[in-house]
Amino acid sequence: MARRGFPRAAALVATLFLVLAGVSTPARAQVEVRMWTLLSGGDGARMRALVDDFNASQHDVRVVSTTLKWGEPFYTKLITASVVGAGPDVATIHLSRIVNLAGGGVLRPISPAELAAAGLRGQDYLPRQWAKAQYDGRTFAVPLDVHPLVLYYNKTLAGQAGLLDAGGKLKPIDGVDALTAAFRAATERTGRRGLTMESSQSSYAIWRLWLAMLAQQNVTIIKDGRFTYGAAGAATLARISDWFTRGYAQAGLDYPASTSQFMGGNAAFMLNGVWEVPELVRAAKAGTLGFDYGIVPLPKMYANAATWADSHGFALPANPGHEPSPAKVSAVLRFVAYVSKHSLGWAEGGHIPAYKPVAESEAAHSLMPNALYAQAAHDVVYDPDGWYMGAAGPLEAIASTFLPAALYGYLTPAQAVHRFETEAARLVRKRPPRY
Amino acid sequence: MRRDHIAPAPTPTVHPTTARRDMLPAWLLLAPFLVAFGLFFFLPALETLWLSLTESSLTRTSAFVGLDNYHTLLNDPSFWDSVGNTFYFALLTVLPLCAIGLLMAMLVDRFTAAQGWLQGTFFLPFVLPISVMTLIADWMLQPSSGVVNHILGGQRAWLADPHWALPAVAIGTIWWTVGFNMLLFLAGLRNIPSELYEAAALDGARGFTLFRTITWPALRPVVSTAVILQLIASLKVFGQTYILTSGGPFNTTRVALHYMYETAFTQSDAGYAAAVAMAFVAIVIVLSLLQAWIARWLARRDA
Amino acid sequence: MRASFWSMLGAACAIVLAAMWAFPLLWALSTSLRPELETVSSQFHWLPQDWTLDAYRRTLVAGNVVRWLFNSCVVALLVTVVTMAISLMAAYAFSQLRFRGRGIVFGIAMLGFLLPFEALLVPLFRTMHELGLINSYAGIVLPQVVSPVVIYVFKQFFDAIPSEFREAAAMDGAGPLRVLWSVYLPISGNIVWAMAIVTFIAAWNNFLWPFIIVTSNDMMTIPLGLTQTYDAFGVRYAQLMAAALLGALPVALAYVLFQRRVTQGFLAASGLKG
Repeated sequence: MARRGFPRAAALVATLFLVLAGVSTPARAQVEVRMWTLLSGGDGARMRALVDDFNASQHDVRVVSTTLKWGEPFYTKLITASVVGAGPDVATIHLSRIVNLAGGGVLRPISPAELAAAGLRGQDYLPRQWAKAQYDGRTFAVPLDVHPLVLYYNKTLAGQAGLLDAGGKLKPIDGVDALTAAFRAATERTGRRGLTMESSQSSYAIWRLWLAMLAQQNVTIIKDGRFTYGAAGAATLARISDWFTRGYAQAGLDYPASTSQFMGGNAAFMLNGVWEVPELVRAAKAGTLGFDYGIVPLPKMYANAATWADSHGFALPANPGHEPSPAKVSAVLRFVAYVSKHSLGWAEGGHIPAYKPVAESEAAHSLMPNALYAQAAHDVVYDPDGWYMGAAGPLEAIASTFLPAALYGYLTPAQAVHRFETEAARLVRKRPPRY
Repeated sequence: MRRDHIAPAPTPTVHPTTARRDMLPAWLLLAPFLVAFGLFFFLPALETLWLSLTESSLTRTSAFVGLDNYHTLLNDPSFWDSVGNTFYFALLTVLPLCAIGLLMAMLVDRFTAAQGWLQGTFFLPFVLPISVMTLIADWMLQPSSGVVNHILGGQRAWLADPHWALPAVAIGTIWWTVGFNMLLFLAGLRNIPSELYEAAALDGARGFTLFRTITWPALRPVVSTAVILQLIASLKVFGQTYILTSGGPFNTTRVALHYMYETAFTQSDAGYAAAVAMAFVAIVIVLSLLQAWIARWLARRDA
Repeated sequence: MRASFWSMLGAACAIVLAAMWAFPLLWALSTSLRPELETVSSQFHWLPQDWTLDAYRRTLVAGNVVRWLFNSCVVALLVTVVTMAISLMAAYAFSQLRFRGRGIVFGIAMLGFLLPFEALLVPLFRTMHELGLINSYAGIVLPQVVSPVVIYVFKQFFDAIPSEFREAAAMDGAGPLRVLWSVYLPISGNIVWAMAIVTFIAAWNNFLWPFIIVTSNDMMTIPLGLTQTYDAFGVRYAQLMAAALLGALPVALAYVLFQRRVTQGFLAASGLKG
């Protein structure tokens, strides 16, 4: 009896042993990475797709993403949460906010060793963008993209205005007078608006365009707490508001109204950021766009062809008292590396990828319509450095309050610039806050 | 042996035995309130005062700078603009709110048959959250598809117009809050003894004379209370302008509290924002004292 | 019957005013019952041409309206219950108990009338940070339970209760706590109800504090969430109006059901007898 029972008992013991062995082997610990992002709409969907793909591609790291509303509330929440150690593990930020965030102690520097461990190197990124992610000699973010201000045009209307060359592309426009002439020709000969641009209260396009045009004149905005544009400031604003007062562009349109004016075929040119590209692509594919469109970098209006741009990047909040463990940091950077390598999908949102292996790849070069303006990435001007600068920052807010007033006719350009300066003066003289 | 002390009803004196006996239960009963009050009112109030004397960001208090913030404040055109906007808003709302509220109260008082409905219609907006009011206002004021422009004609973008934005917000506010004034006046009206009216009617007085000789004098104290209460409440406006116009267009609807919010949260300048807050409180206190003084003066005059 | 001029004028006034005051909500209702395209069509109609509940359906499905309604309920109920509890206790202590410093403490408590809540935003925000209550129910609720107004109303009420009640209970050997529980509370029914409803409505409608302290979509209350709908829904007016009316429904219902008490409560809070 005992002998027959033995094999069964042995089998039982063996099974038990194997089970115990399996159970007691520590399960592969999955690191959870919490991310906050302000990307919504199409960008939000693309980022979500990247997150999902990353999560599906491996099981060591799981990224959980929360979307917060774009604008000042996002940064306020990021700052206040991070300062008490309640911030996320990684956040998407605008590189124009680096001085504000890194300088205020909100972000945690990323060491070259940590980057290398994730397979990332500074020289793998476009130099301008990589430089923008540095503060005080240390890296505080990993760039994702650069999204400049470009000139969209409606080929039908532009053709009617005689602005296209034989190949159906926009003839090069050189000089602000030539651009004005183009808008005038389009307005007069097509019966629609020559230009559309968001110009209502709190619109940012005017700040970006103004910045770009001043940069093209090699004029800076701020230095050492003083405004340095001199007479060029009001004069440039006057050139822009001229387009509105002469009727080439309709004043008072907010962002959705202005974009739909272009998409509806009611304006020949649109000055906007590249983030509208996916909408145009979608409409063209669905056949609802009634015209062929083209995109060119911002024309050279003065001494050079600089255009305004900003960039998204990934940054790690400092979270004092709850600093991330090395495992967490490497998990975060592993995610960031994945996104960098797969940023071609991100480029479909109209952005220019900052990761050189992708940006300089064949696929990127042939991606349309991105290829039409990829050039722009090499000559961009960001918001000036300053704690008060950057996307949704206080200075942009003040600019977006007063500069559009000149387009409206509510203030003269000189008055608008003056009021902007008066209100911003207190801000630029203040010491940078430590959060 | 217990000693029961029958305290005189109007002004009870603190009998030592009673006081000692009551002390523990009193503090026990008061404790929850005092803890909450201390944590969420008293200490923050002191902290605001302290912050206004420092240079601080939203999260970190830094150097003590004495009255620097106040000095900047006095010379800050943006601050005074916002105070001006606030008083302009008060001007646009206080008198209409009291006048319309009084009218409504008189109508409700008179038409007793429809009273429930009438009072309900006038008061219902007051119980609604602010965002309901702003959503409906924004929809009604849309330039091309809004009903206001359909009735008045034209395509004016009311909330984007520097001259009309604040009046538009004021009108929305009147719709929203007049019910409260109506209630105040209604209570005041009901406190007027009907014998007064009967006596005057016997003397042949009618309509407007009745109003002038009986109603108005009796209501004056209520009206003055209402005006001051309404003035102080109007000065505290923030939500409507923040949601409907974001302080625009071109800062024409940026009121004092909005400016305070901006300096605190957008510019992360908590020290300066605290100074703005204290200046604002000072204005409110001055007005409250003014009210007390006027009320006393009126009472003495009527006596 | 002589219809006097004033009577007719009065009636006309009443009708016009009532129509003006009811109009916005009715118009919102009319808008919410149409398809989106109709709301922006160039042809204007007072009533929907194409009745549909689509906007309500979409509002409840998209966005987070149900969650926001839930949050508002939780917050408003908590605020009401806690405020009533601590205010009753405090008011009773101020009114009926003798202790040293009573006058001073009461005076300090009433300072709350003077200082607007808005002035305390930054320190409150920091306090909540230190307590770790950002974006939590406790964080939203706690600053709202401090209500000098409610305490003042209760104290007035308790003061007006004839002292015989208290003396009778005291002679039975009841201590002050027992007196509160068995004598004062039972007769406060009406006034407590009135103030409870007023507090509930105020808590439900509170915009500013939740706006400051809530950082995630899931924790928003209705007034807050509704203002988010501008982005969430893009520009879709029927849906916005549906959301607005859904957000208004609970308080409107509370008012309609408890009209008398609400009136009484607001009047008491303003210092006049209703």
